[in-house]
Parts: sequence; C-alpha cells; structure tokens
Amino acid sequence: MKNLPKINQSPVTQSQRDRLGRWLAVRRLDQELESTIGEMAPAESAGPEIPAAEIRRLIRPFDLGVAVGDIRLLSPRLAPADGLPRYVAVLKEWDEDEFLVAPYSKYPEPAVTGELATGRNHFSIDCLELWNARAIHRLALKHSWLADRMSDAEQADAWVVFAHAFAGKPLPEALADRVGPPVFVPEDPRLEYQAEEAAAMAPLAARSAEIAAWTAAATRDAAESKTVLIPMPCFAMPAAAADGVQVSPVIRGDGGTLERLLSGADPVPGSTAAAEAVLFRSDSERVDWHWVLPADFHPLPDAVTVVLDRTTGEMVGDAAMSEEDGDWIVVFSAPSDDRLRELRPEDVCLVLI
Amino acid sequence: MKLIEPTPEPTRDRALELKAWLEWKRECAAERCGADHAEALYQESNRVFRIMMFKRFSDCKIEQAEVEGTLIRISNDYIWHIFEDYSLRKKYTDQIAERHGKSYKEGMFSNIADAAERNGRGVRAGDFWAYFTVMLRSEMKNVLFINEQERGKREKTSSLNQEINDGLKLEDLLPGDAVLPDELSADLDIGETAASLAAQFFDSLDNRKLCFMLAMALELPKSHPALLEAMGVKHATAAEEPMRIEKMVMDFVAQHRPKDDAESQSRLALALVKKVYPMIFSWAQAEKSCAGILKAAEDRQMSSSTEDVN
Repeated sequence: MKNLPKINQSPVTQSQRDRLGRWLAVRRLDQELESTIGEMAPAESAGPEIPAAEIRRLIRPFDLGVAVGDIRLLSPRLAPADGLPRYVAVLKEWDEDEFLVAPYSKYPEPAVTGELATGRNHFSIDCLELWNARAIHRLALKHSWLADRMSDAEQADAWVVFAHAFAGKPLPEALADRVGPPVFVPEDPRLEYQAEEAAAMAPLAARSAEIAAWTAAATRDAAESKTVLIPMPCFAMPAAAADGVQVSPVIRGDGGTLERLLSGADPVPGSTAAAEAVLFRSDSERVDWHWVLPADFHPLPDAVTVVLDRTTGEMVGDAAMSEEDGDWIVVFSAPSDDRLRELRPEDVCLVLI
Repeated sequence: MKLIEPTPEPTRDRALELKAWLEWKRECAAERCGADHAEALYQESNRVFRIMMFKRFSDCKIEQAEVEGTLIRISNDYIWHIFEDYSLRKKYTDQIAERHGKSYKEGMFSNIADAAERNGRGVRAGDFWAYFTVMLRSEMKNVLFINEQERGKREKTSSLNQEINDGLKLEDLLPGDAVLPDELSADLDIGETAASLAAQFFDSLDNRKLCFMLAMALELPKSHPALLEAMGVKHATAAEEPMRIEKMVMDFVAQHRPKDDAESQSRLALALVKKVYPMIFSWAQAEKSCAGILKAAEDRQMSSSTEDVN
C-alpha cells in the first residue's frame, strides 16, 4: 500500500525568525497606513472629463500567449478591488486546459513556509505565495499582461517550495532560509493575512471555474443531451452564409439552452442585431476567421470568446477580441486541419462567456 | 514633531493634469513628457503625499535629501518617482521589456476606465489621483520600512519582542521546536473528530469517487485515460468530480457537526479527506478496477523522476 506523504517540518532557523520580524514590521506599517490614511479618496466632482473609451485606447491589449514561467499582471477584474496591481507566476501546465498559478504577496517578505523570497528586489514580486497556488483555466489567464519571465532557477525553486507546502517534501537548506517560519498558534496574525490573500484569489478562481464549467458543459452537451444552460451574460453570432464578407444575424442571449443558441433561435425576442462582416480565409497552413461585431455592441471587458461548431456543439477553439478604430473584431487563427478547412461560416458561431 | 509641512492647495489646472496623465501613459515616464505636463504631475503628487502624510500620519519619517531642523525637504519630483517604482525593472533591454515591466499602468488605466463607466460618466483627473493615492499608500509601507532599517532605528528582529495583541509576543509565535500540523489539529480536536468520522465517510463514497480521489492523490490528471476507464465516464464528467466531492464532504460534515461554524467545518472537511486517503489506498490494492490507475501512477512517477527537483 502506498503511504501518504509525510510532512517534513524543520526547526525554525534564525533567518526565518529574522524574516518573520521584518514581515511583522511591514504588516504593521501597512495596517497603520491603511487605518490612518483610509480607503481611496472619493473621486473629485470637479474638472473636465474624457470618455472612458479614450482611456481604453491607451491600454495595451492583453498578452494572450500564456506560458509556463510567465509573470503576469492580472486584469483588475480578476484581482481584488483594492486597486493595487496583482501579479501571478505561471508555474506549470496542470490538468487539461489548466495552469498552476501562484500569486505574489503584497508584502516583500515571506510570512510562512509556503512563501518564497524571490530575490527580485521589487516590492510587487519579491515574495511568491506557493501555498496560495491554484489550477486556473488557460482562458481565464488570457486576461492578463505579461510583465516578466521567471528564470529556470526561479521556476525550479518555486516548484520545490510548492511541493514542500502541499506534499511535505523536504526543503533544501538553501531554500529553508528563503521561506518564512511555520505557523504554530491560532492567534498568529499570519493566519488573518493568509485568509486575506486567499480571498484575493477568489475573483480569478471564480472566473476560472465559470469558464471550466462552461467549456465542460459545452463538451458534454455536444456528446450527450444538448440541454445545458448558457451562463449569462452571453452573446452568440451565427456566421454568414457564404464565403467572404457577409452580413449575418446576431443573437444576444439572456439565457437559454445551447440547443436554442445553436439553432439560431433568439432567447430574448427583440434582442437581435446584425454583424457587420465575416471573413473566412483558410489554406493548407492556417485558418484565419474574422468577425466584425455590430457597431452598437459593447462587449464585457473580461469576456472570453469561444467558437462553437453549430452542428456538433463542440468547441472549435477560443478567439481573440480586440477594438480597432472603434470596431470590435473577433479573430480565430489556428493551424489548419481537415476539419477546420471544411467548416464554413454558417457552420460555426461565437459565444462570449 | 511635524516632519513635512502641509502646503496650501495651489490653483490646479485639472484639464492640464488630465492631459498629463494621458501623455505619461503614452511616453512611459514623466521625464519624457512635456515640461508643463511633468510639472503638473510632480506638483499634484507632492500635494497628495503631503496631505496623506501630514494630516493622517504626521509622525512618519521620510528621508530623502536634506534635513533642516525637523523639516524634511523633498525634491519636487521625489514622490512621483517613488510612484514610478511600480515599474518592475530599472533598466530595460528593449521597448518590449519596458512595456511589460510597466504593466501596472495598464491595470491602473483599466481600473479607472471601469470605475468611470460604472458611474456612467467620463474620466476626470481626480480619478487618476484616487488610484495614485491608494498605490502610493501601499508602496509607502515598503519605503518607510526600508528607511527605518537603513537608519538603524529598528533591529532586524526587534519586532519579535513587541506585543501583537492581547499581550501575545512574537516570540510566542515561534517555539523552539516545530510542532507538526497534525498535532495542531489534534489540539483543536479536529484530527480526533475526523478520525472518528473517516470510516463512515469512506463507506458513503461510491467507486467512481474513490477512483477519482485515488487518482488525485497519485497526481494523475483528471483526463488520464486510466482514470476515465476506471470511472466509466468521459473527461467532461470527470472534470466536475471535484465539485461533487467537495459538496459531498461539506454536506457530510455539516450533517455531523451542524453547530460548528463554517471555518471549523471547512477545517474538519480537510482533515476528514486526509484521514480517508489511507483507506482509499488500502481499498485500491484489492480493487481490480484500480489496477490501471496504480499502474499509470507508477509509470508517471518513473518518467517524471528526473524532472522532479530533489
């Protein structure tokens, strides 16, 4: 019989004691500043305004190619509402469509054994919270910006501390001095901090679960009953009926079944609009499909766009959405294969989740 | 002792400030902006900082350049450059690296656009300063701490003897010998309770869940063919198994410990799952349908042993 892994716990080192002392000092300063300076000042009512869209045009598009070793800044919609930048490290490919991701601490010193001093010498990414690692769906991670890359050594160190935190594997001596000491008593303020930090990952974890549930449901629906509910809000656009640029109907859904969606039924009467254009290109190497969304379409900034095969209900892939000169463009680009080359515009639809 | 003098609100040109923020975003740094825009950013950032520190936190100690009596004079652009330290790197190898290192600007501008849209209005200069204040406040804790360390006013471990709360000292947090987490659980009676409920919970698990938990303990992916075959389901169904198991264990705990608070129930649920694993491993040895999972885990362990770090 296999034995459960043993938790290896070493005595607290002097270095860990020093780190805890520094962590507590920074924590106390942070709390003092928060209580004395308070929350964000209310926005001034005075002064001229510019449209938010003008601000958005200055924002760099998300870096869509998520890879192991990335250090990424999360979209604010996936981060806590405190207004602070929140970085995560992409540690490993995990299960299908998932990456193992750990956040960086808001403090530069490791608080507990599952936190690693990175030696980065920047307060935003000085300390990695391996104890707070999560498996996150790759589509959820696309809503983030690449900030930097971890070195091979950083990745290896992070993995060792992760294995220590979750499986009790022993820490090499060199790394023992780069983590915090364990928590021993329930009154320890680090437990409160850990609860805060775990909660800070909740928006990303929830978004990941939402996407995973939707894609799993779509796959199951294709194979089984086709009666899954579409999570809202969603938006679906059956594509044009012929090659080239075509106008096609758009379905904006406020609920309904995938079957209704795929059949082109409008879940909410009167909510249809028209796609501006659809362009399908394919050759032996790649397929490139483009949709220009309707002029009055305002996508949710954190929407993920997936392409479905309307006949089978299977997910063909995920597409990228961007704004160009005031138009919202959806692009699906992938290496070509027999199946993709056979698909015509009317065979697929877009769903925004 | 007042270290930083408050300054009266100058006549502000909010339209200029707004343009300055946009130029700063485009140009990457205030010193690359036009002189009037850079000055608008320096001046208002200084004023925000002085209000922040003088009115609310007047005993803080920021040192930068020269000290005249108790008055610390800071250069005009000092606070702004502290703020720009949100950039991840000081020296960039190329423009792409610079853009990546300054991603915090993307997050800040996204936040501001989102907030304005939520309020159904456009973006004002004050919106930028509101986020600036929050970000600067967070950064100040590090600046203050580093300053204190550098000035030698705090020994590295001096915090260990300060009270946290209720008379608890930090040395109390760190006993000489480490205590195993299991013993902590036992202190809280959670381990004992979990042990008493483990057999009953194990009996309530059907083969599909047992196979799934076995595979997870052996670090097999949810999509592994051996697991799917043992469970007799497709990947989409297996992918949802964690949610089902989590709900099942939480329901089980709630049923047996209805008076416990949510946190205690969660801790008990975790302890319960840990106690059940040895039973699952025992069960798996004699269960024919698990042979594939055990074999797959063995193969996987062999092939990944070189990849695993020590």
